[in-house]
Amino acid sequence: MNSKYVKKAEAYAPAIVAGIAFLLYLSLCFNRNIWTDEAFTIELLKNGFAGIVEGTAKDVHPPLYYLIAKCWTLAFGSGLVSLKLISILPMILVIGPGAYAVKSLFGLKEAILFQVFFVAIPCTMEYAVQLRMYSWAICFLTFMALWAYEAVLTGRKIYFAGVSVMGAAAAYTHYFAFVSALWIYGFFFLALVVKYRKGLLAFAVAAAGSAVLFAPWVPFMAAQVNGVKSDYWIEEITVDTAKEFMPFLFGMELPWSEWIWAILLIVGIILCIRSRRVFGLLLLLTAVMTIVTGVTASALMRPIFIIRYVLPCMGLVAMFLGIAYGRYLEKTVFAALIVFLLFATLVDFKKSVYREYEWTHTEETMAFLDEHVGENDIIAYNYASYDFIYDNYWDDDHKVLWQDIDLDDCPYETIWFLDTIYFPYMTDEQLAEHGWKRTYMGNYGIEHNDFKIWKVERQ
Amino acid sequence: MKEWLTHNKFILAALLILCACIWPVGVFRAEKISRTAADYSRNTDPIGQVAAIEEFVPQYDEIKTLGIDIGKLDGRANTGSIRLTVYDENVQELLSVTYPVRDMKDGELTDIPLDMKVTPGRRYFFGVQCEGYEEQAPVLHYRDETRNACPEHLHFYYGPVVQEGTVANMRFTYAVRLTWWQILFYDSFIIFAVIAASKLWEKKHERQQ
Repeated sequence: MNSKYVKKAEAYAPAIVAGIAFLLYLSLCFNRNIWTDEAFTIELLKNGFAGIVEGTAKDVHPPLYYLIAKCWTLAFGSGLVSLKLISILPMILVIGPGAYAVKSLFGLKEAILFQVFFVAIPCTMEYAVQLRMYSWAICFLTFMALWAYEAVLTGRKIYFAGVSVMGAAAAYTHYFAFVSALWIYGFFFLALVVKYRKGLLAFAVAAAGSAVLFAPWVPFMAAQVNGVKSDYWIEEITVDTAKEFMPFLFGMELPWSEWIWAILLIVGIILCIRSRRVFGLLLLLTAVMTIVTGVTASALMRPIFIIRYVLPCMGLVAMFLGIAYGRYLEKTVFAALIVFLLFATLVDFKKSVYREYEWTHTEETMAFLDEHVGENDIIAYNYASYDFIYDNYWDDDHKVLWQDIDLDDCPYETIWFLDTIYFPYMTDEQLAEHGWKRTYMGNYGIEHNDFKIWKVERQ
Repeated sequence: MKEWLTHNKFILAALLILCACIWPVGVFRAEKISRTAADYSRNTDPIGQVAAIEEFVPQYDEIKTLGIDIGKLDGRANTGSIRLTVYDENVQELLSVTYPVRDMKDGELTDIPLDMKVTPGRRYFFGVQCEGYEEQAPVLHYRDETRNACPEHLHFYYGPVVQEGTVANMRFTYAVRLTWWQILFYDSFIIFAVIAASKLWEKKHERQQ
């Protein structure tokens, strides 16, 4: 083939892969499902910047994701698709510019493998469209590691500055991304000591820069740590919960799927050792040490770590795999690996489509209520904690907490009661005492909340 | 091509055998779940002397586990074993398994492994009874049929008496055939692994020569 065309194809290949990944992620956006944490994000974004900082300080995460999202909503609106795009953007930054950086450092095969591994790792697709901070944390850590590597190789100050900013950004996005950033700093320091001692001063400046950038948040973080010490929802890490680590990150709801990924990781380690690609090993080690830190802190203090918190390291894991395999694979094996990863992506994509569009009854619930709820009717619910999730679907004029309804002095014609089991409700007899009756309409639900809908009307 | 096939016939055979294990043999199967809807449950009387029986029609050809929901009566019924027996439509016993009551959840579904081949669309029964209990036998939880039944449910009995309009609270976990995408996921991994291994072996061989 003409070498000019080959060169062009090589130049555009990562962009094409990034484009396909974008379309896959985008296709998962057109639904109205939100779960508790996403509802929290939406609620927080209703505030101004000061309100967001204040609201985050009362929660357990740092504020950067919410501030980025606020800027985005000011420019592009706060519709659900727009909000989901905020999470897709950093994923594409990783798969696009991130892959080009990998290409220039290691080669095309490594870059393509990094991209395809990143999309195929089963836990990443779900979080690419969640209204949460994980995709941004992935982006910051990936670029931090890449630029740290470039800083060691070239000694250019711009990369030290990049590491400094990305480190602070990761810390401002998620506290376990902060932990991962600290490990990257640690490995960065060791690499400089071994390879480029002249860079130690620039390293000190970069680390100090990160610290200065993060300093304003330290008092808030201290308050959050105290709050978590006294009360937090995460359960103790036991052997059983630890057994769930691999299925959460690499499970595809298929037998032995996490073992297939475990084999890929182990072979990747062997390949990295053989090719002496220490950078690849350090990438994986960052993820492993983040888990070790989380588990140790949980054992020493109180449970604060769940495996979801290692998601920010998934860009690093994908880069490790890309670097490990890219060095060794000749054409046929490379093609076979790409085909396998393609099918892994498709299986995971089908699972994601099911999760985003079919698993919950949100669309059916909305269609039912749109069809039945009249002008003088009200939607009532008994699951008070879901109040702020329901806020995203109906305003306060159209919904009410069931417990707040006075059936003897009720202005509504019909109450459409979303009856979540094990929360307050009334029996036929109790309703009859107040002159009401109920008719069962069906089983419905929104995201993780299944309920029965009752039509409650006067006798 | 011919030369390649001659040199690599063992690799090709290994590939074909491994891929055939995935399809058509089907060593791996995916899961499909069908269950009663969320609702308030009612208690049967204790299932010690009298068995609770659910008549059902499976949707797929292999039941991996059957989830049942017992009540332990504030801990008084936490001894003995649950015997779960599956019968065909002529009430001929097909399978019987036991499960310790103390290992079962109280008021929640516990999946009992069956790994049993069935014919989708045919009627079956399963009976649940507690054996070897001390103080008291547990109860089984059941629900209103209209709001909660899954496609499998037919009739629910306590002993010989039909409990009209009710169904046992349960969860069917089926082992189902892999979809084409899932088959290709495994097959493509096998192909990758075999090709990688053969290339590695070739290289080693070359080096030795």
